[in-house]
Amino acid sequence: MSPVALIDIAGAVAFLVALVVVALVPSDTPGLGRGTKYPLLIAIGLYLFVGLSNAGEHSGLIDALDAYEDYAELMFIPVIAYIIYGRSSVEQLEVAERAQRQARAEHALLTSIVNTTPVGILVAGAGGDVSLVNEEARRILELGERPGSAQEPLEGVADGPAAAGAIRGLDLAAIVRSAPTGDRLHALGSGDGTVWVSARATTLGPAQGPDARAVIALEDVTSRIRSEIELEHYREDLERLVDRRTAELIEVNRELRSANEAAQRFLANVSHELRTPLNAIIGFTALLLQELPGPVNEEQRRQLGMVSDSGQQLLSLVNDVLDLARIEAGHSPVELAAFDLGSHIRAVVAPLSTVADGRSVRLECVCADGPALMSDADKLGQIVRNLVSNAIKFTGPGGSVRVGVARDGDGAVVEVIDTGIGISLADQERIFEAFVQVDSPDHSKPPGTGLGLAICRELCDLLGLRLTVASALGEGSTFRVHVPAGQFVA
Amino acid sequence: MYQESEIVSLLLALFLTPVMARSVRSIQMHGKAWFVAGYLSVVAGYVFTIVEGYWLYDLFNALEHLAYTVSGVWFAMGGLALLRRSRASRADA
Repeated sequence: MSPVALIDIAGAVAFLVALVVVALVPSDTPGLGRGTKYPLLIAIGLYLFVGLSNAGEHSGLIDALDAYEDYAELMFIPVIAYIIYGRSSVEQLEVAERAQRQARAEHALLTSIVNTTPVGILVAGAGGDVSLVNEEARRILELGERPGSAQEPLEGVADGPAAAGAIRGLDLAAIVRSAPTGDRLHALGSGDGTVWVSARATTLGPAQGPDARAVIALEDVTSRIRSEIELEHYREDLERLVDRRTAELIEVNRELRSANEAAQRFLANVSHELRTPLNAIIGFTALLLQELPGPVNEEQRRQLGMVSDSGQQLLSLVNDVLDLARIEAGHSPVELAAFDLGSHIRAVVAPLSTVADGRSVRLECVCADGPALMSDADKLGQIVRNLVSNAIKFTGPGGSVRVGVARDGDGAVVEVIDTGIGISLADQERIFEAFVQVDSPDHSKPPGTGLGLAICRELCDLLGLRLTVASALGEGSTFRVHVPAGQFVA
Repeated sequence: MYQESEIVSLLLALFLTPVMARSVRSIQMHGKAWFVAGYLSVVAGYVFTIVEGYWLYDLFNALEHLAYTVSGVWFAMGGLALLRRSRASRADA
């Protein structure tokens, strides 16, 4: 047997093996399929035939197949071409189907998003024709359940009773022409049924011309606009109310000022009118006590003494009322002058030592000379005098009152310290009100008008000073007048 | 000399092979390279069978038959690759 015959036999066997193996491969194998498998079997079978023909011819066994060998060879290439184009077409079809499925899934996702978004979305053309509209836009524009949705194009929605290119008064054609735009407010409808819509447009394709299209986003801002309108109404109402209340307050304030001025005038007049007869009473009582008109007996002297004391108390009250009224009315001008604080305090306190001695109270004044103070010396003296008088009044026999001037940062502080009955914490603010007097521990009403500390507080305010008190019941009191550094002459 | 059918087969191959090459690249098929090799071996056999009529008959005749045999081997290898792929797919399933 020739070598070529052996090669042909080997070839026929190889093709036979290939035919069997490919026949064993299931048709549903990925990348194969019936359309490929059977033509492939035919192609292999053709060359199995060729191999068998050659082997029979060259081995001298059979010659009959050779007549058909050429046909087999001629068919091979077209069959292979068929396999390749068939397989290629199938795969392109599979790719297209996959792409279509993916596109449908993405479209469904996009549709869901567009339809569930709280913003109305529609696509409109240059003529106002709507080609896509989602649920929210359908609701806003009251399009109803008509054909056309985010899934399917909507044609001719703008046609009908609405003006051409407009739906519910919303001029879509104008919006498309002006795209791209930011948020613009549109009112749909009228009266109570007005819907306020904020519209924003983005061009889709050509910006101008008959083919111009735009994606329009609509947001129903009716609630917000109504809230703003209501808020504006509330604001206007509030402004009117404030104006009315302000006018009323101004009127009340004017009336109060007028009443206050009238009361002060009345008080000043009455006090002034009281002083004249009071001075007469005190003066003539003093003459009687001096027995200038004639002798008086002991009982008459005692009763005249009572008249004189009462007159003095009443005069003191009238003077205090006059002072307070004058200060509050602003009729007590501040007369600034430079003076030495320490020596001035000493001069004010010195005359009160007689009163202190009379009550067996030790009065001590520790006030060294210091820098000059620019203030009203008389009013400062009146403050210190009132404080020291009060301290003596509320300090029992054997007690002491100490007056001193100390440094307070860059300023100074005048202190009046007593060992008297003290003031409870609750009373410490009240004592600066007019006609307020605290009870002594034995519940006796102390002598005085209850105006001294009120006058002190007013005078301090007038002079730019600060009056404070530190005290505890039964442990005495300390009144401090704080003088700011700015009032000292450098 | 050559036969007319051999010339026609060769022309078909020479004409269609470059055209098919583009489509073959897009095909996703296990054992594709073996099948392509088998096809090219057959085409080589077509060439050899024409050449043998003009030059070194014995050699090119032997090469022609050898090319067909080798082609059968490559087709068998491609079939085996497909069969393995099929079994692997079933095992994964």
